[in-house]
Amino acid sequence: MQNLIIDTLFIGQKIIYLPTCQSTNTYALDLLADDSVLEGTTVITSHQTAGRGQRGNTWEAEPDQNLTFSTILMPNFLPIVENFYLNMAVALGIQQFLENYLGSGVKIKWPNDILYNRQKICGVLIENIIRKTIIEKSVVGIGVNINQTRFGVDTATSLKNIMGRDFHLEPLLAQLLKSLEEQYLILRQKDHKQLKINYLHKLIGYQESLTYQVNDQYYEGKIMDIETSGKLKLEINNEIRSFDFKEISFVY
Amino acid sequence: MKAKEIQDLIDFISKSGLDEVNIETESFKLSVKKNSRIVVANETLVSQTPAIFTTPVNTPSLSTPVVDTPATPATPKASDESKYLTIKSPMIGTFYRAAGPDSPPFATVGDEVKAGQVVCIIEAMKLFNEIESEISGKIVKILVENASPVEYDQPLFLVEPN
Repeated sequence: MQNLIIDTLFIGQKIIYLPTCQSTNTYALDLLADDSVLEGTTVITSHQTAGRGQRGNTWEAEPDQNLTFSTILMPNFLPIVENFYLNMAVALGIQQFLENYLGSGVKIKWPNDILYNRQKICGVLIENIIRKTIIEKSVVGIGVNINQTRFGVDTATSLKNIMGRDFHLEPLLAQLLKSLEEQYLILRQKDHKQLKINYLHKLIGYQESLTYQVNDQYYEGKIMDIETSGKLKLEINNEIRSFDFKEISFVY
Repeated sequence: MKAKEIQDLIDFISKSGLDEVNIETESFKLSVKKNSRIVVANETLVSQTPAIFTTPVNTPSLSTPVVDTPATPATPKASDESKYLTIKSPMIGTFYRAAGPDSPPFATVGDEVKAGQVVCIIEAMKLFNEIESEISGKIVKILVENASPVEYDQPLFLVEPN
């Protein structure tokens, strides 16, 4: 992480580089014990040995090939009930960054995976610290597949697999952090309406008929909206139904 | 009857202007008296002993005052509980006692927790929220099973404040 010039107000202005690390999210969460930690502090590693995904899942990335980092945010202006807008800002920040390289094939899979033509290129793990009714601090963990070309699953891809060339990680990191900050500033201005419109327009299945699985049943549905809680509002058989993350899955 | 429902009921009664309310069903008896700060809850699990209830429950007459409610075994426990505080869920989601399936729980019964200490995780829409306790004290009871859904304001932990 040399020659790193990051043109942001605060995200990534303090970078902690760890050649190897179990999980950047865990490391960043531990940093929060110190009250003097600055917003935007970013922990990045070249080799994450025990990357965490969604609860109990792992995030596996080959050493030196990918962007694997966690950024500390302090969205203490955001009530917990508006929690999902943070998710929208983060997902959009990554989507916009990748769209600059890959074009309109980059989409958000609800709630926060980033896909290129239905293959996963980026995963997100957001862990918040809740005090009373506000999000006091947040650790946003991001893993973007860059130069890795082989994956354990065929549902994953990378920038190199799509573009056919290698990338330097440093400038990509700087651009991604900048893009995240742009969206985070929109969140901070409480422009929730704008965030939601942008998020919906990049969301797979928005106003488009796709197959979903709900309790072992298959349905054709169209995403019509996202509730403030983050629940998906689907039109199924001319009826609007809302679904929690655990209640529904996409069928490819 | 869940702790949350009892609590909602008490909140409702406290706002109602009634001084005393007795509710009795086949499965529980609940007496709430304002200003006395004593809540008597006597719950009988119908499902475990269905045979007993093949005949109607012997209900006390309407004139029976609250003090006669046959809940003697529960009374000392219930009045003890009045000194406890609860840590409630600030949101709808799934309650987890540990950071991951293989991690130790944040707090177990008997642990002393401090205000600001993380006691559990509530997951909602793939966002993981570490919940800080607002109170300091000893965890007396964990009111929710790991990995089960919780509602907004649902009591999660019973804490004996210090």
